[in-house]
Amino acid sequence: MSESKPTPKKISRRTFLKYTAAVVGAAAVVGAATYYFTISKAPMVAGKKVIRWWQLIQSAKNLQFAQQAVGALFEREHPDVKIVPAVYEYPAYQAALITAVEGGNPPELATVNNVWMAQFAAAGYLEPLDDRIKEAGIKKEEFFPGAWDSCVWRGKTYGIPLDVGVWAFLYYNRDLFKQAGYDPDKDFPKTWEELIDMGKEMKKTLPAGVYPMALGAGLDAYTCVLYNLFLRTRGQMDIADRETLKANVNTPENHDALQFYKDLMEISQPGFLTQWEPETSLLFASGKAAMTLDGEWMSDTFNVKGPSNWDVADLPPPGGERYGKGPGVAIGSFGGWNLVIFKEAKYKDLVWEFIQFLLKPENMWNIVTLTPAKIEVAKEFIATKKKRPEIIMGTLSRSPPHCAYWAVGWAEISRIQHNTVQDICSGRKTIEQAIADEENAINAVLAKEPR
Amino acid sequence: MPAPFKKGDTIIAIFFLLPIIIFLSALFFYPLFQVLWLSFTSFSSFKGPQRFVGLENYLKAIGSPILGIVLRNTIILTFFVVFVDFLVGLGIALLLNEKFKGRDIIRALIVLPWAMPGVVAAYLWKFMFNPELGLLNAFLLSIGAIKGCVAWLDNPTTAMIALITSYVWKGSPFMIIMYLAALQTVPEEMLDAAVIDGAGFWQKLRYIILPHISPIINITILLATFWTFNYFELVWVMTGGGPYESTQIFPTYIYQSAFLWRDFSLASVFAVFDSLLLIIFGITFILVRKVRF
Amino acid sequence: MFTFRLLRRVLFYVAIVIVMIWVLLPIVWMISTAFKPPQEQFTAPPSLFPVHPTLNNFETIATPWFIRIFSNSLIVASSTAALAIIISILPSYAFARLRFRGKSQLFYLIIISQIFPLAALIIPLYIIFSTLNLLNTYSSLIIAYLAFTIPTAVWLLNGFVRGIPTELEESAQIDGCSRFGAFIRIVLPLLAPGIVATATYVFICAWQEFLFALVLISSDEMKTLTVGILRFLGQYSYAIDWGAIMAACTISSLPVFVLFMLLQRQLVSGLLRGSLKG
Repeated sequence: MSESKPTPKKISRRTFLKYTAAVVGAAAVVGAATYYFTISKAPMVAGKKVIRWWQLIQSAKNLQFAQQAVGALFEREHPDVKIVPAVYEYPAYQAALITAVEGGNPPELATVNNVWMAQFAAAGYLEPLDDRIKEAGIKKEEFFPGAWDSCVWRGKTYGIPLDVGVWAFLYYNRDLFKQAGYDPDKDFPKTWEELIDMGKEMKKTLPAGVYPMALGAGLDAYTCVLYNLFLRTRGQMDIADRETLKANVNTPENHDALQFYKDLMEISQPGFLTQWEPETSLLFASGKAAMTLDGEWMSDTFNVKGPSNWDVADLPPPGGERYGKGPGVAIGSFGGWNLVIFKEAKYKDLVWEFIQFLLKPENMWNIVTLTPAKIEVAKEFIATKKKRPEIIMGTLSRSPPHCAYWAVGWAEISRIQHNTVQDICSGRKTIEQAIADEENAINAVLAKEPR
Repeated sequence: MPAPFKKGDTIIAIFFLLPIIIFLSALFFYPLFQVLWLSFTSFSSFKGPQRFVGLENYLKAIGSPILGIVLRNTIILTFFVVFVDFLVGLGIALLLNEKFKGRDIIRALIVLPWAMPGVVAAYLWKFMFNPELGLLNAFLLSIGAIKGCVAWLDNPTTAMIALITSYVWKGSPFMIIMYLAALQTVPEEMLDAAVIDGAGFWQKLRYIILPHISPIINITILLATFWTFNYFELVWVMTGGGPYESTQIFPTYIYQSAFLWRDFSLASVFAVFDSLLLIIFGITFILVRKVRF
Repeated sequence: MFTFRLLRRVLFYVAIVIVMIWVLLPIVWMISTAFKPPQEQFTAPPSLFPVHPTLNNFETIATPWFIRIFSNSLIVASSTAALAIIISILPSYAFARLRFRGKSQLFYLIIISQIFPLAALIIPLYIIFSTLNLLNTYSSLIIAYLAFTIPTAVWLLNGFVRGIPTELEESAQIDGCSRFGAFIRIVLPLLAPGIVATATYVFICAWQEFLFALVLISSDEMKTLTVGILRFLGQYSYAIDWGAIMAACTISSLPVFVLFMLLQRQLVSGLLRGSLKG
């Protein structure tokens, strides 16, 4: 298997030089190309003040274009400014943001999830905005109470709400209701009990592959907001006490809420424990589920891709024997995005100007990913875009932010809630056991809260 | 066998290796030491001063049940994945070494799972396992193997098997390519001689091929173990560590503590445990297999 | 004896078919979904092939931005692979052929770079790149990827060099070749499969890497394909436009496929014909 016969020294030196030249040449080309392309950095335009604006991506319309359009308007009034928008996808956004801030290089303007506010504020990332707010005359009454609350931590305001959303509404497919033998208006469930019983009946009458409910418990953030919805509609507003920093789970409300979640699993599609919004909304949109619970922003998607005859209603109250009573209306879990200024950002005054610019109704309208946070703007927004605007406005106005949103350890608490639901729904633990574990776990997390 | 030792060899070796060493040290060891340091502090921020707490974080972690869970899950997952990876990789490499029609195209296709971004592969496989709409259930239903839609990812055992499958699908091309390349170095005359002596396929494999590609086998198994142990995209998307933490593994837990909970001390502690385990495995493996440098 | 041979032949082809199915099924699914119109994408039971194939999904993704992020990935991955090979070949040869003190310690050191989970390291690394003012450039990604792939590349190539018997180099040196000449004339050509395999590994590592690409690159035009593809997952990962994602994945699989079609000749550079015969 020997290769060609080796030749005497002289020629091999020549071949050696040949090969060396080739290698060096290749390295030079590659190095030069790399160097050349590194000059093409982000559009840092010389001499201008650059405001990097990070936001969550939006699916229904191309948010980048809207961002660029609004940015261009602002640039016209401030010729020495360049707005550089960037969008991020939800799962990766928090990682990118935390890394940038910890790395000392935060974007000048970013939207922050309302449940990250406590964590960011406690970490010292955010600039308190109280003085600026007073000076600019921004009134908190203009915004949904749930939205404004999420911006306040330990008495200081760290952000301005941009957009909001609430979990969750009961979307239902009128055609499938009829197909299962129910009148979508007359037979619509008025209590949790009726919903479960109707679902069980529907299981028998709906064709194979079509389910009464599309729901899941597959992601912390998703599971806990549904859990919160049930908890609040059953009458308990929070999973822990903000003053005493102790879990508040040994309650009949919590018990009933969890029981309801477990019962919903029985009338839902298989694959409950590891599925969440992408799958459940897909099932509903493709006409394979008669009902689903989702936020108001899904109206846009269902309009485009959904079943032809869908409708939306509030979650009925527990209203009765099996699940106890509640306040009688649906109270949801308020999510949303707030505009913040990072402590290490440059040009803070300029960014503040830009924030106020964005809060103008016409601008807000275009750049939100959910529903605008200002009540008046939201009213119009919902009226023009969504079905049943009164229902949506009602729940939006009533709902507080997610349970324990005020806790720095919110993410850990939401994971605990998620695991509790999974333990119960899978039958691995009884509700009592799970609640006991939940209590210990939440207390352990709250023990770490700064006091 | 290394060539006869010449005096200048050490100098040459250092000359070649110095750039790498400097490069790695600068880029890699600084973060490593920072993470190590963080594991002994109560985290507040990366740039500010931190409060030294000694072994407190480690003791807390050892005391909490999640460490044991994560340990168990990661070890089980990695063990089966690498084991199957090896068998599949070697088997397919042997197959692809033969001549048959369409071999070229198949060889090019075989790399695709590996080249696909992890997140995409995860969504693809999650969908394959989807109870209502996925291919697996559709196939099993059509041949009558199951009666209703099975939720593969909802049960800890089947979820683990599903994960192993997707890991192997994604990772075995690495083994396949490496073994294919390694098979090229097996001397043909030895194989021919063996055939003349009456050796069958298995004997050739055991006495000629395997010993010859042994260095590559060592390398690939070690690397595959390290990478599988730390690969987070597949589990993150497919199960999120569920149900009830039954598929929570080191890399996903570390990512979660770091970027969702912003608890970098916890993440560092788990990262240190992670690496220690791999070091122990690596050293054991190197000793047992008598890997020479 | 004759039927036994036939049986082995048949088993052989059956094995090939099974392998093909297992590897290709998800890929076929991906490609076929890319060609499906929305109403066909999620049927129960799912159909493997589209009934009314459409190019719509490809049109959706064929934006200038997509082409840009595609090229970004291509540039970063190719540069990383080329540089990694250039940097790694000589050291791996040194490891394999030369004896010197401290070799195993050095090796352990290099190995250590592979065992750490990236999520824990990413912020200090970000700080390094931020200090060097390299954020949002190709260089940052290339350097980061090189740092993590060169150790493995050295290690892999070392293994391949060991597979080449030293007698060949020795006989060449006896015939008058210098040590370096023997390296160039004997070792390198035989190393071709190993080089292709290693280059493939580095390319693919860089091509599909996620965390660095997410964190080191912030502006839209500089993003790589792996991060950009998430864009088609939509907001909160719902309302997923599966058709578009699958189309994007199909397109993004093409370079690797093409590259490999061209390179695989080198991978199995004809020195050894099949070993299963006989």
